[in-house]
Amino acid sequence: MNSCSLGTYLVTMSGAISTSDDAADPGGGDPLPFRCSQNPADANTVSRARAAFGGWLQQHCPLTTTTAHDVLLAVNEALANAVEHAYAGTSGNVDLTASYDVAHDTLTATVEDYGHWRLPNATADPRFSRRGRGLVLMRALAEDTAIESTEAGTRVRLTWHLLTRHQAPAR
Amino acid sequence: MHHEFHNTIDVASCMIDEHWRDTTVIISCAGELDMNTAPDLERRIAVALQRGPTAMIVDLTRVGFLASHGMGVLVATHTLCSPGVRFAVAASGRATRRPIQLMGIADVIAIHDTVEEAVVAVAT
Repeated sequence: MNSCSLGTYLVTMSGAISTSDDAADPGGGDPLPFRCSQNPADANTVSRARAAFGGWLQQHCPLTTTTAHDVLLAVNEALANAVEHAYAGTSGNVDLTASYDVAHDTLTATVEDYGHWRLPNATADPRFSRRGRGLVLMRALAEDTAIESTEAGTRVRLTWHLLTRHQAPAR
Repeated sequence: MHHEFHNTIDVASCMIDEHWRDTTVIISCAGELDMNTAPDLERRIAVALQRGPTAMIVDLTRVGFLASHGMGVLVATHTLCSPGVRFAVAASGRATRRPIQLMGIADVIAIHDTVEEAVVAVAT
C-alpha cells in the first residue's frame, strides 16, 4: 500500500500504481487490481481517482480511445453519484477499485461509499433535466450496472465483458 | 517489497475564455468538464448573459472529458437562453460528441463540429 500526499488530500493506491510483489500475478497474468481508497467523497477526489484509474486502464487494457472514454465516464458518474448522494450534509469516504480478468476479457470497476444513498431520479428525461443523468449514463456505457445499497453504504459495480473484443465504434 | 511511486495527480482543470463577435458571445473551454469545473463554466455563462448577447456559443472543441455535470450546464444554458438568445454548442471530439449523443442532447441543442459553423448557424 502506498500513500501519496497531494496537497491536503491523501490518495492511497495499490495495484499498478503501488504494487506489492506478494500479490503479483494473482490469476495467470491478470494485471494487479487498481485501488484508490480512503479519500473524502468530494469533487477533487472524483477528478484525481479518475485520472489515476485512467492511467491504470491505459497501461493494462488495450482499448480504443472511444471505449476508454466510455469506461472513464461511467466510473466518473459512479464516483460523482457517491459524492452527491451518499453523505447529505456530512462527510465520508469513497473508494474505487478495479480489476481486469484477461482470460474472460472482463473489466470490473466498483465504487463504494459508506453513507445513505438517495437514489437519483432516473426517470428524468436526460435531454431536459438539469441532474439525474449519472445513472442513465452508467447504464448506457457499462454492460452491466449493479447497485447494492445497505445500511452500511452503497456499492456500484460496473462490468464490461469481452471488453477489448466488443469495443465501441469510433464516434 | 513495495515499489514507491509519487504521482502528481492533478485536479481536473478547464480554461474558460470569452470572445465576442458582434452580439454573439463564444465561451470556449479547454480541459476537462466535470463536477469540479462545470460550476466555473456556469458562472461564466451567467455573467456573459447579463451583457445581453443575441446568441451564445459554448465551444467544447478542446474539451477532453465531458461528464454529466458539464451536460447539465449545457441543458440549463439552453433553458436560460430560450427564447431570446440563440444557443449552440461546438463539439467535435469523441469525448464530447459521444456522451452528448448518448444522452439525446443533440435532439434539443444544436451541436456543430466547429465554432465557425456554429457562428454561421446562430446568425441565420
